[in-house]
Amino acid sequence: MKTTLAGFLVLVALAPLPLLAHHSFAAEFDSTKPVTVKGAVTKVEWTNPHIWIYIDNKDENGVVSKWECEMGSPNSLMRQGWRSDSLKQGDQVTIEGTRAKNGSNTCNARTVRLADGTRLFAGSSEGARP
Amino acid sequence: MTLKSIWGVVAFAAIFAHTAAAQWLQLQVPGTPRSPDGTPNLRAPAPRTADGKPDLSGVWRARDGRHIANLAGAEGITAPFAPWAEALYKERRENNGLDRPSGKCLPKSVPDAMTLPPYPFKIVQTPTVTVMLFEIFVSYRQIHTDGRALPRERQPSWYGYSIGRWEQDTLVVETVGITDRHWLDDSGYPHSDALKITERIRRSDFGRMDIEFTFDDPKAYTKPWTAKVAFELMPDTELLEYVCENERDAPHMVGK
Repeated sequence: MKTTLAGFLVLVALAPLPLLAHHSFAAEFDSTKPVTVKGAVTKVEWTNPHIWIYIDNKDENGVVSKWECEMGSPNSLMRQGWRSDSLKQGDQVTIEGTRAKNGSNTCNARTVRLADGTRLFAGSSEGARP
Repeated sequence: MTLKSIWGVVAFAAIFAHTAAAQWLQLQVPGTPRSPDGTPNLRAPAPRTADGKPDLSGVWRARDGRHIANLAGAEGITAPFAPWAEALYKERRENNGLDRPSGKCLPKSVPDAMTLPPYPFKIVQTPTVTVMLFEIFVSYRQIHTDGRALPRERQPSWYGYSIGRWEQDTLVVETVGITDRHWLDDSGYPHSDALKITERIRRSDFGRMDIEFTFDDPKAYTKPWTAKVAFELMPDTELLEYVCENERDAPHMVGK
């Protein structure tokens, strides 16, 4: 796994392509609302147009809130070195992203960090776009 | 070499072979000119067909994403809008592209299906028809080069009706009949049913192709305007399937 991730990170460094969504980023997400979601992955949907990951986020009192975050498309992330088993149910992750404008527990993931500190790349952020 | 490192190589080869076989993300495509070490030589001359025309066939992507978010702006120009088209464009921008057709998994077309670096398209050229297979939304367009005229009856469609002819080494393509529900780019440049797009397609060497798109729409724009997009060949790989099967954004879309 370590080798795969190292190779993956090299690929990311070599391929700084813009990764975009089929939909407008700004119509759905608020670039002024960064969000960090930490918890266990409960489900991964490896499908187009976006990979969605579902997370149980536990606060300091142990209260669980359910989050769903979108990443890039499987196609673009496969070309960057991701595979459908790069992230699995039960993995502990920290996601940094942008929260949905409608206030729901929905985010656009910019980065996904695994429990061992390895940073994966989510590749769906269009935050810089007008 | 230690036993451990040998195992590492074997394991890596096994993983790689599995991945390559699974979806042809990496394979040796026959007919690709190569350096002695096997690397594709992208500066080799453009290939030619049996009848001497440049062969545009291959997997291509836009070299950069400059034209996605502002087709005219990327050219340093302001589109010569008719008043209604300018008002509609302004509204689409103010809504942050809320109603972008692809947000509902409706197709992208010409040129917006071709300006997306993450989503390549494949050209398959024959003497009578050149086909573009678009990865995004698993769609295609046909450019007929058999001498037919543009159709008189033009039921609006997402990819329109295209004919092409060769002017020396440039394939000149005319397209009409693209539905006015289509946006020319992600920001929402509109067009009417009068739109005619002329593409001048030139493959300058094995790895490079340029297309000059001219948009002639006397209802939406006061004069024709042009965008030039550079493409690069993606050697030794294949398209992946992209069925828009799990659209979950629409319920969260709010616009402004």
